[in-house]
Amino acid sequence: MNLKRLFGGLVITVAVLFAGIYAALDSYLLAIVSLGVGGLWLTLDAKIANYEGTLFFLAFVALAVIASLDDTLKPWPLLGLSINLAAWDIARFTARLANAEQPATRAVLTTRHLILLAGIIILGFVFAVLPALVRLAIPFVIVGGVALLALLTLQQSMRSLSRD
Amino acid sequence: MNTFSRLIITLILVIFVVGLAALNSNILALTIPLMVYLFAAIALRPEGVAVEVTRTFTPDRASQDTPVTVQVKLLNVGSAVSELTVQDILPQGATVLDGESSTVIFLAKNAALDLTYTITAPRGEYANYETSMCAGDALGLFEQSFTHKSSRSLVIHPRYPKLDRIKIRPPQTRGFAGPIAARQGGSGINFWSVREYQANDPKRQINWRLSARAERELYTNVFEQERVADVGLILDARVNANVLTTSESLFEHSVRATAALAENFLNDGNRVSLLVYGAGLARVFPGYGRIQHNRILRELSRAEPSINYALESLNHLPTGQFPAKSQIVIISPLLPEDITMLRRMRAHGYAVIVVSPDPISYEATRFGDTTSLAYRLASAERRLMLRQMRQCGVQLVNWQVHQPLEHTIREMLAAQPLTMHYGLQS
Repeated sequence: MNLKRLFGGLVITVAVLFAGIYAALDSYLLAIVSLGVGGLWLTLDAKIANYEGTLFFLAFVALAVIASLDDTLKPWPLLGLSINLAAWDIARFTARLANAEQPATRAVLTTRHLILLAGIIILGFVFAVLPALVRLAIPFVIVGGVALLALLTLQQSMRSLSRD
Repeated sequence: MNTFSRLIITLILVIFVVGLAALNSNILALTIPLMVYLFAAIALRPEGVAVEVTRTFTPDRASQDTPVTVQVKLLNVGSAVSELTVQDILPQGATVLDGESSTVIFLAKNAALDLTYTITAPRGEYANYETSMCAGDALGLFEQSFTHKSSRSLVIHPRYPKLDRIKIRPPQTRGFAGPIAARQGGSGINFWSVREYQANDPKRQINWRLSARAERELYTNVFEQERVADVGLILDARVNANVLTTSESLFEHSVRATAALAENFLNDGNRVSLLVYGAGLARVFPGYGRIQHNRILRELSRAEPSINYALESLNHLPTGQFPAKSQIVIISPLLPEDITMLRRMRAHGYAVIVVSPDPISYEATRFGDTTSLAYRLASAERRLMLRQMRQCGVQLVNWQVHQPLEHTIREMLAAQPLTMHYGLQS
């Protein structure tokens, strides 16, 4: 599969999605910003070999956070973030793949990576959407406690990884 | 952990704090895809990576500009690695002609990887050939880098021309038969003298003409013995005597000349030794044959021009390490103060040949400056120095490196009679 095309498609989708979200929210400036960020990311990717794609990823994350403040368009910012994450991952994967010159090696790695990435992105999106579909009346203190526990677990696992 | 994993963690924390501050579950939900991504990377991160690396060079000794095939075999004896980036770090100046020296691959447990490529490399001995490896998870968030140093070294010899036989006549030769006239009567080809016939002398060696003039005696022809000699090669690796530029160096020409001379003298059956006079005194002790030739080439592969203030002039040349009255061949661009040492060597009875790559013409040719006053003055100074050297009985080859060495040696040594060697002795 052509990674460049896939990446282009994902970036366009993210940019159009966020532009649509902000247009629906009557924030036309942010809609233009979304399209601008997407366009710039595609242009740089096409013209410059080593560019900092992470900045564009962070820009779309910021747009997703802002869009999430409005409660009416619930799953769309989440979808935008997931696609943005996939696009950023593919950009980094393409850069890593520059060392693999043999087409056969590239093809094997690409297929393996895309299957894995698709699984992770879909799983992440489904896990994130589930709470929106299921309505439970849980006190905020409990939610906060669970989140804090999750964060502490994450911190401990990171420390253990750093020690390794 | 790398920058990207730290970024994801920071992002999760920031979004989480913003969500809590805004009391907005939608923002909190944004952390979930990022968390899934991070946990997937943690689950797939490389652990217990153990890769065995074997490297072969074909051939393991080659001359400059000869293609060398490098084969790197990797065997994963640890757990599977989602993404293994392998990069064979090439020697400085090496060019890949064919194949690839780096790759990214998924390496399953007990799986092997063959990396084959062909290179050409400049002269040198590459002892610490390294393979850099980076094992990472499929998402590129966690990586583990390690380097493998090869125990096998690649030796790239200097490329050198074939020379015609060089006639030398050192004052002293060794006991074994060879091509050098030994100035002693015995069996040989060239007539040496006559003596009275002795029992068991071959009849075909009787000098019938002289015997006919005598009344009753018979006389036998005696021929000059031909033997091998000791030849000591001295390569001048002093920085101040050489012309070094970023792209080229006069020293490379000296190295090539030394290699060619070593082969020539060894092919004649002589016992040849080498001394590289530069940072220190790198030596190859005297020896014969192909093995000695390989030893000399190996030492020449390593030779680099360098500074040692104690060895700035040739005055500290350990001539005592060369057999007395042997043939010494110095390959040096020469400095004016080197005359003293050459005189001393001649006085000690050594036969000296100096092959001197001309630094003046080398630089002038490089910069296209063959008419300036500076060039003419420098050339005149060098001519004067060379004349002084010839006067003390040194056989001199002033080699302009853009001309073939074999022609220069043939012409210049033919113009200087071998008897000059003995000028100081007689």
